[in-house]
Amino acid sequence: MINKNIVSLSANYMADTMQSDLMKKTIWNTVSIVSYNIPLIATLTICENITLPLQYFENTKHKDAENIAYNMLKRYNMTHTMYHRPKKLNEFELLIVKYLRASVRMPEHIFFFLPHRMLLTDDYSPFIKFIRDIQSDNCQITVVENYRYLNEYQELEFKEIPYKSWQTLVLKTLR
Amino acid sequence: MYKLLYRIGSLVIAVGNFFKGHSLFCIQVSSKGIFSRYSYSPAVQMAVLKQIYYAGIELIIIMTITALILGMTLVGIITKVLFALDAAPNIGPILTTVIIRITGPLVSGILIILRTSTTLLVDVGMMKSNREIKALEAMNIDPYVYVYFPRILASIVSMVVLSIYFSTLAIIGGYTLLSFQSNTSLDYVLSQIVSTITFSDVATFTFKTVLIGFIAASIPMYIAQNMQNSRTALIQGMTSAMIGIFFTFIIIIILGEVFI
Repeated sequence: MINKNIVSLSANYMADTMQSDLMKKTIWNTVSIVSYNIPLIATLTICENITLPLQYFENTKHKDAENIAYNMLKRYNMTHTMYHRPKKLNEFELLIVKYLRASVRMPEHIFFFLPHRMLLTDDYSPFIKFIRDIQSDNCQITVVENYRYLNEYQELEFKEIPYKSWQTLVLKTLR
Repeated sequence: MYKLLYRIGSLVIAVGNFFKGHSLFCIQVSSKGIFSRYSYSPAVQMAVLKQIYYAGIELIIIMTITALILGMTLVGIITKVLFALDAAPNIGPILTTVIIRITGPLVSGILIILRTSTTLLVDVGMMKSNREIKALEAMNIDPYVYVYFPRILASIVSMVVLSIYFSTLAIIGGYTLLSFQSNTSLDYVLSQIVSTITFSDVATFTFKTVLIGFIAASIPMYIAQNMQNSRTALIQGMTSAMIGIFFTFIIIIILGEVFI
């Protein structure tokens, strides 16, 4: 079963419309967003950033939250960054941390909005490798990206969703 | 004449709007902070502890030096004058009034405002301009509960504790000087002060410290929350916050003395 989707956009501003639509209608514990305009909190460490939703919504104790963050960062060989502030990480590492923060409460859907803007580089391949390796058995991944990057996804088993019907097809809700 | 009236009218409306907006902000923070179930989550508890560290513990050294020097100056001079006038039995009420009712909240308030209010304005202003507040909203985390409430609570706690600390140290500092000048024992000075502390003194002290702690955090955060994303906004915000805090601070000090 393909549970990774791509929505290609003819213009970047459409991502903002889509994101604000999503934020208005979302049932929060089922959907998470990784976006270029949703940053990490600069005054918190990477560990605190990742576990903030857990500690806030689910009353997870600090020690348990640290263990969870450690195990998540271990998958990406980033345990050394656990107590760093976000400004010490490069753009790609920040993207990974944003994804970990979005996935920490195990949502049903994770949306990536305009990943090329988070990378700030012409080399798109690290993101393709990253998104390909995400294990998403219980979670649906949807990448929202400019049409110029659509070719990069051709070799991946992504289901292409038209912009006009993304809510119906991805969230199973009507406009 | 018309221009003057126009300016006065504009100023009155601006001050009225500020108090209306600030009051609504305070009501929202207090109600959400007290009644939201997330206010008691580990994330918010950690935020409160961090803020107490920044607002209170980092001030301890400055506060200790200030309290000892001011204490030596105030208590030393007052006691010396009282002994010279043969009014030593009045030492208790006078020291209580000068240190506990006035100097303690006043000096602690000034230090908290200088240290905490400015930091909070920049902190929350930067969070807003860096879209971090929006990031919290995107995770459905209420900024009133996670950002504003812990900072206000920490400011109140720090203010009350620092004022008690200041008053105690000022009396000890004053007594140290006094012990060199006369044969007055610490027991005598303390018993005189403690025996004259009334409910009114405690009420005034609590009223001033809690309210000063509250405004020292709420005014800069309210202004930072409404700031535009521009280069000059932070400077303008800082000016408005300092003026707002200064006038409210004076009003609280006067109200504390007049009505309690």
